[in-house]
Amino acid sequence: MSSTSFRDSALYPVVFMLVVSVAFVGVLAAMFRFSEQKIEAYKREQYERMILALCADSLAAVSGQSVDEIIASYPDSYNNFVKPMDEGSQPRRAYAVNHQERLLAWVFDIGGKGLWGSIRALVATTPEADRIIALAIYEQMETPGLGARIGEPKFLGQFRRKLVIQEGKAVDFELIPEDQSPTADNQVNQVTGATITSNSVLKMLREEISLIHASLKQEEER
Amino acid sequence: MKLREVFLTSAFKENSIWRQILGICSALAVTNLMLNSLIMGLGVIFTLALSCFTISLIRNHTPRSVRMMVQTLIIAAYVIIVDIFLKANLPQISKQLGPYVGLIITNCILMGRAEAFASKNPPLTAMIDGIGAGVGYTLVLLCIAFIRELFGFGSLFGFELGFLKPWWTNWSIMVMAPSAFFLLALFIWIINKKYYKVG
Repeated sequence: MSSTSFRDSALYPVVFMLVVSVAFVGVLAAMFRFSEQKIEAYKREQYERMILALCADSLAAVSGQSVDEIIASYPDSYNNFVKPMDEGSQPRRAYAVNHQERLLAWVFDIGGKGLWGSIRALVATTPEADRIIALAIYEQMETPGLGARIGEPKFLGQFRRKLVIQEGKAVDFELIPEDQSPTADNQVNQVTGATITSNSVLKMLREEISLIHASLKQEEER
Repeated sequence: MKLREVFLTSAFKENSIWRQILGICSALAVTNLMLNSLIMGLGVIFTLALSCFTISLIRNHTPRSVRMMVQTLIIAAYVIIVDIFLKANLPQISKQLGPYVGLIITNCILMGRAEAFASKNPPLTAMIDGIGAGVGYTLVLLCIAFIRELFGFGSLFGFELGFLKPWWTNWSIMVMAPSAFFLLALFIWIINKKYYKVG
């Protein structure tokens, strides 16, 4: 069989496509293999740094180190203070933040629905899980410039030290326009032009923290 | 055709956006910030150049019946390479761009140039044509993003303009998708009216 006749055969396009596919997929697979660990390591570092930053204030208050020192001494500080809990021991992935055997705070990996996709967040709470210490969002697909602004410190900062569970019941948060100043503790300035997204964050906090709080209480009673 | 001429034709005279109305989807989506537009543009230039080069290199061996599949495969492979490279080595930029990099695959300009030019011309010419089309695309994106970011955020490339700050009220419409439709339509209309004989 000469090469010209093979090129005319019906098999040629199939073989050609196969060869091109194998070649390119091979290149991609090799490249991915080489970068995989780097990507994973970076992701884990960002995640752990976020956990540390959330409870750095509380740690600074008892450990004598400043917030900057704690954050700068990552990963030592992370390994010292933060202990990941066993999978399944809590309704959500949980990290205990301890200082000299005393539980200072919990950090929970929580999630909810946004306008376009799911929102994933880390929330640091008091040991009783009734008050937020700090909140950070690490994954969201909201509209850039509008809903995506829930990731800004201006919005997230409002949840510092907010009471979520009062006398066993979830606190009803209330959204107020961005330029008004809150008059009550349960009021939160919304992100202008992103009412649905702002509400999604409130809903996620209420639901997830209620769940966690209830499970912690049950554990205590047992 | 001289390389210079090839470049100028594909970048300006036959510009993908205002002449061929290709790549409109991404021009609408990423133009609310100039930095996003620039990096999107660089990504498109890179993939266009390399995919046009590769497609042209194997053009004489590619059977007609599967040429589209081959083109898509090559384009997708280069886009994924860009994506992995950014994720591993420039994670900050990769995070800012989010899903935009992956969306380069669906950019019509890539298929357009591959089918219209690269599959019929030698590799170097095809590569220059690809770069030209990418540059033309990037320039249009930057023009639209300039207006949208200026009016919508009061900033350029993320830098807040000090003299605007005290009295400027941001236009939310400029941040949202509809403004891109209006601006792009106006842009295409003005250029075509001024430089081309329409109708």
